[in-house]
Amino acid sequence: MSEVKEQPKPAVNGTPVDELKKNGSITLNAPTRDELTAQFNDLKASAKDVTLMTGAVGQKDDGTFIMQVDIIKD
Amino acid sequence: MATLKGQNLRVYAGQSVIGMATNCTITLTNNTDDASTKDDVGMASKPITTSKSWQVQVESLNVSDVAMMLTAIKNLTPFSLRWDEASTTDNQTGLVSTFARAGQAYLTDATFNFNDRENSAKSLQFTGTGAISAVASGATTTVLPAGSYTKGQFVRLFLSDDNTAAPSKVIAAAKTLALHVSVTVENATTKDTEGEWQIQEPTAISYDISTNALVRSGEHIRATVQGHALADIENIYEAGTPVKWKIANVSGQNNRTASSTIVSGSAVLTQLTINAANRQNATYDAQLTGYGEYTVAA
Repeated sequence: MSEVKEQPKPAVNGTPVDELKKNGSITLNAPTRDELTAQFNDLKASAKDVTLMTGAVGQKDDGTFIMQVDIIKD
Repeated sequence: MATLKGQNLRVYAGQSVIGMATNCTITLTNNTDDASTKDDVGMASKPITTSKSWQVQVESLNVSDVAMMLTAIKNLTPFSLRWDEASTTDNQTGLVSTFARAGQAYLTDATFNFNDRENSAKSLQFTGTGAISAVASGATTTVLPAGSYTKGQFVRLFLSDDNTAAPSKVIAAAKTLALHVSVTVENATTKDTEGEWQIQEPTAISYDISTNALVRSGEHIRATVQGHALADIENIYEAGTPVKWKIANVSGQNNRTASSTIVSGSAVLTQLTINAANRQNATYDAQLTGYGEYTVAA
């Protein structure tokens, strides 16, 4: 009998998407613009029953990129 | 006696300072009626205060909250606003000074500018509804983390050719982009209203999008994402019917790959201006007026 491993839940910045849905908004943070987009796409793919709203992508003084995502339950 | 510096007079929404602000203006108005009559000798008027109203304007380099602002406008949600002297240690923490005041206000005018090779910016105008009052002692303020800056070339306008297709073609060779949203408020003060402060109620929302772009004879780009050139914009003008639009974060080749949509909707091209000044690059300005409600969803 093979062992059934629990699949890791989708996460953004280490926080499970289910937890994120309970919040009003989160800020994604990534070292590159492409990685930030990948994070956002992961979040969007995982969050089926919510509406996501994003502001403009910003670049901080340390060079990293951030995106504010507001999560609205449908 | 030291003079208060502008950076130490801040506007707060709820418990948070409006971050990355570059300017703010608070206008308190005594609305008057001329009470001069034939009984008065001379030519001068005699203004008597009949009501009070107030407005707050804030300019900021933070555009990460565009979605929140646009949603608040769409939902006609009033803001709890206050202004206060901020501590010189962080320019953010409110000190509950003697001139600090607070009240409810609608965001009645918002402009978001995304210009090429410039830090993007927003300009907000709030119109107060009801009284402003002195801030109670003990009010606290959330100190915001360090902000971020958005270069305008990374936020672009996409249009469709008509109102059935998706807005997948970017404005080619664009230099500027501005989204302007305006809320009409009407004075809803009546005899039932106590006090002198005007009550405002929102009655309509309108918005427009304007962009400036170079006139190019052809595209020399790597990106596969197509662009609207002047001829395409002229076609949209001639049709005179709504087209779909979206404003999106972009990356990739020629900054043309949309990563996430900030806001979208339909609009009519209401004005097209072609500029051909001597010894300058020819450009055009396109202004689109919103057709129906905009959608804030990524």
